[in-house]
Amino acid sequence: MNADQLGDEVTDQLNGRFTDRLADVVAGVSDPEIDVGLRDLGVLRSVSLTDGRIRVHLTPTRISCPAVGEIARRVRSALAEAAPGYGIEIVWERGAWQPAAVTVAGRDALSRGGYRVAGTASSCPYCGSEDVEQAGRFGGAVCKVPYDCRGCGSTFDVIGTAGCTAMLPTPEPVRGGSR
Amino acid sequence: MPHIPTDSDVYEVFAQSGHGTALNHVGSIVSPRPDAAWHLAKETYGRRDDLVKLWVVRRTDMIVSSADDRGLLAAKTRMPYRQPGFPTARRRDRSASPPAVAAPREGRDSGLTERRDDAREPGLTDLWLALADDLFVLGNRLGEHIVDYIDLEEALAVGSIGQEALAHAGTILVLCGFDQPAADARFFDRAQAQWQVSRVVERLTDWPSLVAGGLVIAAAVAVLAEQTAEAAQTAGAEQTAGAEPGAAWLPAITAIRDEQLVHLDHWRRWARALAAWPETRTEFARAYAEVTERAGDMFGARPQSPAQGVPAGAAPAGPALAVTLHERLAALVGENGGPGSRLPDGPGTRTWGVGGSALADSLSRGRTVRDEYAPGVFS
Repeated sequence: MNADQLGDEVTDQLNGRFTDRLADVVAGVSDPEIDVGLRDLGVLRSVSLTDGRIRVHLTPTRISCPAVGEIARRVRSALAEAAPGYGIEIVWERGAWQPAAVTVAGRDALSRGGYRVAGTASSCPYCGSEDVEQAGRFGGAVCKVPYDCRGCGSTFDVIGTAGCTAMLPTPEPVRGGSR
Repeated sequence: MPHIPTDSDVYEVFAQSGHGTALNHVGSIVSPRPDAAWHLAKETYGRRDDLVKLWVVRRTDMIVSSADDRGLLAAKTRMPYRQPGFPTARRRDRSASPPAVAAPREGRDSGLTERRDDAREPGLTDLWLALADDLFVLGNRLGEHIVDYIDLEEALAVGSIGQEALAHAGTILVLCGFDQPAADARFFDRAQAQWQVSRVVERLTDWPSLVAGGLVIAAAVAVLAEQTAEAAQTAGAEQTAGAEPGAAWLPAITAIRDEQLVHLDHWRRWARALAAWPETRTEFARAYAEVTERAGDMFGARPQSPAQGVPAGAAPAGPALAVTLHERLAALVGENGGPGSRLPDGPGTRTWGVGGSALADSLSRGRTVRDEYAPGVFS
């Protein structure tokens, strides 16, 4: 290996480490609605660096997520602080989010906020009871399904996608609502 | 600039005269010494009333604003729509402005006049762009009905469906190769004569017709999304040229399909309920008939030209595809368990410039909001 090759390899490694650090910066940005980091929520897809330009791929939990503007603003300001002078490009991958992309830490954070993630434990996030019942098909948004807990009387939302009904705690979705 | 005053023998007096009242600035006095200042203040301001608190401070120990500090004192995040007077002011502005007109302001449609390209068959992107027009109007109309519910869940669901209709319309444009300014221009700077909405749209004037129209439009979007997903899968991993449906469309198009199927379910429940209640049965049956008999043109888009950001040479959809899509729509709409659909037997074609007051109101409202909000609200 000659000096040039060695130099290239070192540069590649440094770039890789730098990109990892930038990804950690984005991962530390929290969701505007629930106190959970973007990587833990499965919103952060990738961070890459080409020609002094940072490109961040994100995916909203639903296509019409009203928080995309605020998330982009937070990511930009966090990156501008961590790596001044770099161009920042944010790419939204619409429809790419999956509940399975939520990390274990993310599930814990969501549970503390009163949410369950589709495809995980079907118990109430407040009291742990498994005696829960779907209360309709819509929560505040198409990505949230409302549930009632018969153990403690709390209501909570299961976060998923419109197409994830098979992953909901009650396998048979309530057709036509609960009333 | 905020400054420290220089008149060192002047003292400002603050007094509280009862437990229920606040500590107020009551005046100033001149005194050679601080201890004398307090006694003088008590004699001056506490002679007739019992005081709870008496504070005296030398004027040179304060930092005070000047008359020209108004700019510094302005709130940084004062949002016009959060001020108590905003709804009143907005109502006044609206009644002062001319009523909704379809004709856009001067210079609105620059660059968007080239629109017809009848020489080719409509492609999937043409069908999508026409449905995006329908979704835009539906989302706007639903937005006006959010506050009409006595039930919070219904208001949330309708708000969510309206929001998603608008977001799906925007996403369709992005998939078709529009960037954000081009998408904005398409929705807000196009004259009504250049819109290609379904004839269903002109009937979206009241709640029963919104239920019927929401049902038909959700079903049509779900059908076209299914067809597009099939086409995209056949196209495989190889990236197709321009903005034609390819593998890159799949995540967004399947998410749109899934969300619209949830909407469809919601509208079906409403349709069953309105058809069952004696008070609403007749009105809903009429609205449902009038909406479905107009819905033959769901997949009847005419080709649009490259000037609108759509690449030419889209795969021909042709009459055969329109027939297939129409049959799938009829099957999906027929499953609702409500009154009978009057969907025509075969597909029809769309024309330019329909949409009536439902489209005109949506356009005028969107333009008013964009033109009149403070700069920066939409940045």
